[in-house]
Amino acid sequence: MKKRLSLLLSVLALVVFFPTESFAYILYGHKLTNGVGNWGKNRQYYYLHDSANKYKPLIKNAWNTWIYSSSILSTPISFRESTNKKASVIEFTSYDDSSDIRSGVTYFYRYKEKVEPEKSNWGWARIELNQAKLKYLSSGDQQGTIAHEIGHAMGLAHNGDEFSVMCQFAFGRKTSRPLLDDYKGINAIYN
Amino acid sequence: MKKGLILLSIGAILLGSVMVVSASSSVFTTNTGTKATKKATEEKDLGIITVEAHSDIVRFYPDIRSLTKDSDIVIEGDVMNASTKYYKDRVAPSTLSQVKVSRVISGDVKIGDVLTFQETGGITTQRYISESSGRGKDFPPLSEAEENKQVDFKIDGISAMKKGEKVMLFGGRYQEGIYLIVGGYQGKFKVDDEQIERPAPKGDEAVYPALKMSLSSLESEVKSFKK
Repeated sequence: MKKRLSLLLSVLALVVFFPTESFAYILYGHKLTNGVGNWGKNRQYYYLHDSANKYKPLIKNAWNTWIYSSSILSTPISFRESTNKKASVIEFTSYDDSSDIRSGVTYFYRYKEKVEPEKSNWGWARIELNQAKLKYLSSGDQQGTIAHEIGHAMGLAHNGDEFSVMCQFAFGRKTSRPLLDDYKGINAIYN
Repeated sequence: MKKGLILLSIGAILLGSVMVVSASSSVFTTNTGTKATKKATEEKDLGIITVEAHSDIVRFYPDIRSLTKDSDIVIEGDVMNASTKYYKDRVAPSTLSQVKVSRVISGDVKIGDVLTFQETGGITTQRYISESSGRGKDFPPLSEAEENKQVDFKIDGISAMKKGEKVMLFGGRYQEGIYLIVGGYQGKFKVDDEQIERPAPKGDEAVYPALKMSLSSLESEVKSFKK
């Protein structure tokens, strides 16, 4: 009887604690039309407007956190800066508006029309960084905002998981770089 | 021995069920596009296109206490007029809304005053979207009818105020004669009868309290925090 009971309990424990695959990431359901590159084979480009030049090192670092995965999971992401705006699929600009509570905003375009990422793919995206809000954040958190916006531009929506770069800063984001679930989200879209 | 095998089989079935449920939940996350496309078609039929930007906000107002603390005024009002304003170097337009005060919960304003609120987002046209994209010349031109199409420019799924809406606002003085909504969209509530509720930003519904309550409860809360 004892044997059977312990067997039953073991099975139950296995069911409850077995690390089944679960996801915190949320996808828009659409993506960058021509993808995020394919590491080692082909790449995509991003472009910095003059106004975003002051964030150039942080933008590069933020990209590196997406390209060089910190976890065992790798992604196809391959992006490099270009001085040719036309060749780029993600642009960066900045503005200075203290009345705006946002530190970063991402806009999605198909040709020259803006689109909702839940409704259609986008050919390119523009990321706006708000100097007036970023200046109150540490450089790590500034980089986190940029990585967050890059995540949007590639197709990831907000989630409430503090250990995901796609959690909003105001809602308690505790990482300035993408973590396992964020990479899983990218792979769910582009692999 | 046989019973042990049966128990193990039950366990395996349970485990399989859990994995199937987990897998189907991931499918759900990518399924929103189909529903959204239907909605988009309906909106296009009405002659207005919706576009959206997604952002990262720096300050969270989770409750009435935090909203009250940062507000100069708390009012209920009717949106009399809403006009779009453009700033150089910004993609998103802004909206200036004239709100006629119908109830003062807190602050140095009177019933009947018309206050101006500024917020990001609003109604614009495809022409503006195309021009502000900076890539207008890279793509084929739009027809005049397409250029004149109206666009509701939302931020994180939330529209700017529109004429005819009844709203409850936590406002902070910004520039001469202009108020900002505390926390962007966070201090803006829809009023339905005597109930208020704030719209949640897209994707943050699970972590963002709607603060649904009656206007009288709100009034007593605000007054207690202002003491």
